Amino acid sequence: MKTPRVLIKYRKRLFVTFTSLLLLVLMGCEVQNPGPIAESSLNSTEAIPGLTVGMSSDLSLAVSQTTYWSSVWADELTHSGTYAAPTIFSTGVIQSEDVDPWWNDAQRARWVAESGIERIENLLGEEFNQSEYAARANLYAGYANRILGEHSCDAVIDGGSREPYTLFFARAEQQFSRALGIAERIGNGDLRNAALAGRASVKAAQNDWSGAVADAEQVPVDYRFDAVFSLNSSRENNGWPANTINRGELSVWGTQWEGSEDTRVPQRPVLTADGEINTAANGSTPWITQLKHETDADNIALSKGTEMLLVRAENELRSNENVGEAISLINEGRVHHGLEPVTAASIDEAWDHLHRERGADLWLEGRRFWDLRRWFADGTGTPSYHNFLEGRDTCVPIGKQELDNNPNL
Amino acid sequence: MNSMDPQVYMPDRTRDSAYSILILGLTFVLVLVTPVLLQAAYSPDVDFQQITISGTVTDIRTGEPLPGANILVEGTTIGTSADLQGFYEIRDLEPGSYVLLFRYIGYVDTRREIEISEDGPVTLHVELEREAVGLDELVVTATGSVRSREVGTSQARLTAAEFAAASASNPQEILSGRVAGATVLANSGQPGAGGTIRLRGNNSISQSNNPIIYIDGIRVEGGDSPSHQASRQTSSPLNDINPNDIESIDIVKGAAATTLYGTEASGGVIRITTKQGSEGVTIWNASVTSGFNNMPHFGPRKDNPTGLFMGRCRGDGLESYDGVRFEEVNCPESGSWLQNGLVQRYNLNVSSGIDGFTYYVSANYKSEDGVIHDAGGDAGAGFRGNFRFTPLENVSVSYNTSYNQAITDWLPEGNNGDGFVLNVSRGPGGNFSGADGCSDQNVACVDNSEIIESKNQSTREHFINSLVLEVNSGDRLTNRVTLGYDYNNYELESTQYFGYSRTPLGQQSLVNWNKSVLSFEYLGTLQLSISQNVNSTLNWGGQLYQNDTSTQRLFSEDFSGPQEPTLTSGARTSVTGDTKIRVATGGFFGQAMFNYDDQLFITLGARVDGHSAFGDNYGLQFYPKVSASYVLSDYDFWPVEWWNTFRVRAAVGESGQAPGAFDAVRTWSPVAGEDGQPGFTPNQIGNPDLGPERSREFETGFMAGFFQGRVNADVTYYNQTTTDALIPVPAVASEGFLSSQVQNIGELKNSGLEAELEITPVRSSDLDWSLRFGYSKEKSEAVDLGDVTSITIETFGNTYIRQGYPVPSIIGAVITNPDEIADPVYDEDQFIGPAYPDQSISLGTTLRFRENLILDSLGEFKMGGYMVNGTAYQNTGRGIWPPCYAAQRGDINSLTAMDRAQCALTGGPITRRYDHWIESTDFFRLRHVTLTYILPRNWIPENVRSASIAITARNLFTITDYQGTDPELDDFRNSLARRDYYNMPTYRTFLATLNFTF
Repeated sequence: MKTPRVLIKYRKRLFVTFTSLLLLVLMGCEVQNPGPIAESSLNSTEAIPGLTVGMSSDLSLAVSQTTYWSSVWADELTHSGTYAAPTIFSTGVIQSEDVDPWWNDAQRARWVAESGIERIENLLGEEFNQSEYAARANLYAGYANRILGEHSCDAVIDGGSREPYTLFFARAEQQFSRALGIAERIGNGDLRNAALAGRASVKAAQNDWSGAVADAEQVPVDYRFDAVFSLNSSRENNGWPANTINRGELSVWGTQWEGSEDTRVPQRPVLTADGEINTAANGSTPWITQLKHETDADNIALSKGTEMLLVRAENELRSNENVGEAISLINEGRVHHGLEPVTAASIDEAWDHLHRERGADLWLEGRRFWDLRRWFADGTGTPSYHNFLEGRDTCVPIGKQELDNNPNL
Repeated sequence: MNSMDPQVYMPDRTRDSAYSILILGLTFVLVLVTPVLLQAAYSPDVDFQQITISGTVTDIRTGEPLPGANILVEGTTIGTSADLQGFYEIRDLEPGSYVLLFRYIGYVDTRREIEISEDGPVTLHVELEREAVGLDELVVTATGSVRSREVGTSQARLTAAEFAAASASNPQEILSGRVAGATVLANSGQPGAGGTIRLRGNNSISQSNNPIIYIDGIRVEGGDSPSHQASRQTSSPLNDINPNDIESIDIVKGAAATTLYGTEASGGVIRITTKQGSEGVTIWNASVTSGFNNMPHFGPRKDNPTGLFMGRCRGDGLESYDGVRFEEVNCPESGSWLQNGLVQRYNLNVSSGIDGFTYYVSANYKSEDGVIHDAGGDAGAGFRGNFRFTPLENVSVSYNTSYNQAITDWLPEGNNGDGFVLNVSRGPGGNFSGADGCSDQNVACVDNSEIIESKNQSTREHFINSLVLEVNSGDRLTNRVTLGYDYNNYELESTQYFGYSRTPLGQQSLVNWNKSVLSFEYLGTLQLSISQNVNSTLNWGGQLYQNDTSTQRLFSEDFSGPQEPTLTSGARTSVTGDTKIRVATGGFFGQAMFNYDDQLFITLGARVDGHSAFGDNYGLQFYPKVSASYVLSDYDFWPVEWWNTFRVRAAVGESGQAPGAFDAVRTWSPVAGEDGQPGFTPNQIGNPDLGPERSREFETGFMAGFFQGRVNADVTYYNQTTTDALIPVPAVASEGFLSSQVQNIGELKNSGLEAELEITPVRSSDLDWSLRFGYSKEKSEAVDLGDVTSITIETFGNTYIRQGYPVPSIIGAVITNPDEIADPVYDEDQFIGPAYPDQSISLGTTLRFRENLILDSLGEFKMGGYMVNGTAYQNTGRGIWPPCYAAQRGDINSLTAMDRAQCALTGGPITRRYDHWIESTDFFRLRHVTLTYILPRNWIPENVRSASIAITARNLFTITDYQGTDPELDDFRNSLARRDYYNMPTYRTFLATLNFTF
């Protein structure tokens, strides 16, 4: 077909129009939006403080979730609410489809810290071993791995395949050791204690009791290293008041701690106007609220000097069957808290004290499930045996989201 | 709280009203002054010999006048409109020969040649013939106005004449039930709440399914505002357009028709054209509407005498199933929370034009109260100015502008501890139980009036501007440049005052939302004559859009006292959110339409798009289309005596849907940790290869007219496949990023049938009776979701996307023995039905008696959808769902499995499940019935051209088996799912409108 004359007449104009439009399209579509941070921006030494704070923030989220759910897994509190997952947990069943929030938060805390360590090391080179940020990053990674190790049935690292859960403890020990080395080099006693206390707990978890004691002995009794919470923003809240004080999702009622005078397990019945005990969120369970995490800004301990005394006491019972020394260490902690000393006439009695002391000292700190798990695993014939997990799930399976989407699982 | 002076802390409604009245006053002044100034500035020159053409325009068969018919002198800008008697007059013509074009909606365009000498006035009476299915009716497309016979796709068009009778308060109400293939759901019965519009169902799982909106040729915001904090409902900027200003609405439904709109258009396109003035005739129109909103009963009708305690809040029946009685201490004097909410609307507009200049200016004010006592309502004012200027013979400039300001007072509703429906319907178990002041000390004392005293408002501003420059180079080439700016500014406030029982020190939440769309568009049109029989129209052009959204969320709590607070009144304040998102898209297109003998039209077109949300590795996107329209009835052999028109059409085309602004980029979020120190946490995994979803649609259909337009049919079948569908793939948590990442891995299918039938059984000078039937059926299917087996949209709405099922589906446990006297037996994880209605039937009729009386009505069946009745689920468990009282009070062993399941109490032998309350949402609703009486000429003053009175009832009644409060509700406004969860049901409205034209 012959080109119409009109097209020939206007072809220059058409060409200019099309070219202009093409240029406009290509130029107009480049947009940089504020808000989210491009990952490339993190590859700068100026980003290191923020990276480290991010690790701490993500670890605190994981700690908040862990303490909340594991209080039901480990009978620290009675489930008295209506939310779906804890309702199922209260029956002793822990299934993949219910545990995503815990698994995801804990894995993110681990990944953020571990990938951050790598990033900081690349940025700092040799200076890494002199950096307080590097020490902190290793501490956060270590504690995140400890949370995973103490609860998980299996380990998964960075989208990899299923591995023994003890891998988390091994990684944690390595990270605490690294943190310890840096802290000692830069003379930071606070971080040194945090690393020692963390490492003592994961060495004990791996049955390296002598190693655990060697670390534990170096930590002062009044030392405490916390997951930090704050009222500054909702993400920094520990979340406890909303579920236990403002709303009765969990209650002290029906646990071994109900009515306890021990100052380490503070609690209060919630009363009606008539002075009767109120019912919790499910409309039936008596509502006794915990007061340990009374505000959203209350920090939650990751390691404490008093826990170190109990590590040493447990070692005395496990390795040496030395009831006297064990009770002496237990009482050192009790005195520190202003409590009366206890006595034990037998190793069984001493174990009973240890079971209870660890429970009270670490109450609502997300550590009880691991204690119950390992004491249950010791077997019925052992003095350390604890039967709470009988007939219940003894570990937390891999989250469903990870199972469904990780091609290596 | 009761001891405080309410004047101190109640919202200042008086101030809002004064503000509105001031705006109204100013706009009316503008309306009154503008025409006077313009007339003065453009006084016509009268030096030459004045020759006048005059005559009447009438219907060829009935001989009735056609008031408002357009008369244009072709080749000039001179024109006029016929008056009520069909009389027209064109003055000031110089001697010569002219062609006059006579146009009237629904009639065939008619041209008359006329010779004018200096001898004096000329009389020309013209009779117009009714058009059948509208082959030559103009529709608005991406390339401008074209005759419908040229368009190869289905395109619905609503004109002011068709929808005026509905007395709709906004464009969504206009669209409701009128367009086959369009689903409009109300979401909530609150004045000011926006509805959901879907054209041919849901085409995207993760991106917007809203159609894109054009007003007077420019792109405007087509989505919703953020959900209000307390009402959980959204507002729709589309509803800011005053229905009285709308000349026509074109609805372009599928990808085959939206190709030239490119990326973002797969949800369809709605084009609104507002009114323009005509040269030579000045028409004023004023209307006053008054009426009331009304809710005769709240909730299910059966065994619910108190209407969930909303209809009756004093007297008998205020108790739970186990006899726990309560008293509503501040129940209104009427004994009911329900009221008749006053509705007022005022409109004034003027249109006119003189040589080279036309204008349309309007102002409106409306105020509407909801149906809950002293709570909820919407009030606003706006104005519009549409100006067209023709400085040179071939150059025209149009500037259309509108401004609208409104305030919505929300009633807290939905899944909200402070929600009104939630608390009232829970009786003694609501969150405001335990109040003081009740007369009976032996019952639970409840004070839900506290909820109403809190302040929940959206203040909205909407400013739309379009500037169009059109240059005609000779007869063949037209260039059009359009600049547009659409600006929305919303402030959403939720304040609980000092003394509010649930937050005793009070709190305030503010959301500031700004949304603007800046657009530039160029369109070129070239008419070519290729041979004697073949003509062609070439179009080319391009668009650039810049879409800016800014959202700030601010929070303050713990006020020192009962003052009207600002954010700084709180002891603690925080910025809880701040996002600024710019999305830019640009594209250009070309189209060639070949016209053979004005019978066969073949169109080829394509669009190329770039988009800022595409991944770095993703380039431009290409969308092609081809369509054909064939008018068979123009053949000589066609039996036009009885089969007047027949046109077949078919099209294949593609369009797209872009990912979200940040979806392609790997990002981290700023967070605080360590007590307020800045830090980073993983946000979005990112995908540099991310591109748009592509929807390809095949569409075919026909239009036919029989018996001189007495029977008209329009049938369309479509089949759409969306490839590269953006599927949210959950992250692998051990890799650190937790949020899902959309990937182009899915495939969806959507097919359906749309049919419209219009029958006019009676057409005479005394009586016209027409019937309209609309039918549509959609079938959607998630064909491929990649490796994702199931996508959960909302667990507590039982809403999922599963391969092989509709998008989205309701999936849950089915009770296999519903009528057996036994415990329920379940068939788990069953597909129950689509979440949205997939079938609709509309029935409309218009009856005109003589010239004076018109009865118009429209009803709509919506079928196929399912929804969780969350209100019943929650209240049955608490023993406060009256329809279950008999079952709950009786012997459980005598109940059927379904009754045991639905009426199960918390802690009872049957475990309660949302699945028990999955219900069909099939309903019929009478959308409107209007009786219009046009006042006889001798009743009205001489200077008034016409006057009418119309009485309208909207949503007069609903027929449904749905057991909740309303099958149209939605509590999940920001998700693909929908759920009935303590929402306000829709109400009915009675209106009287007085309309004057002068």
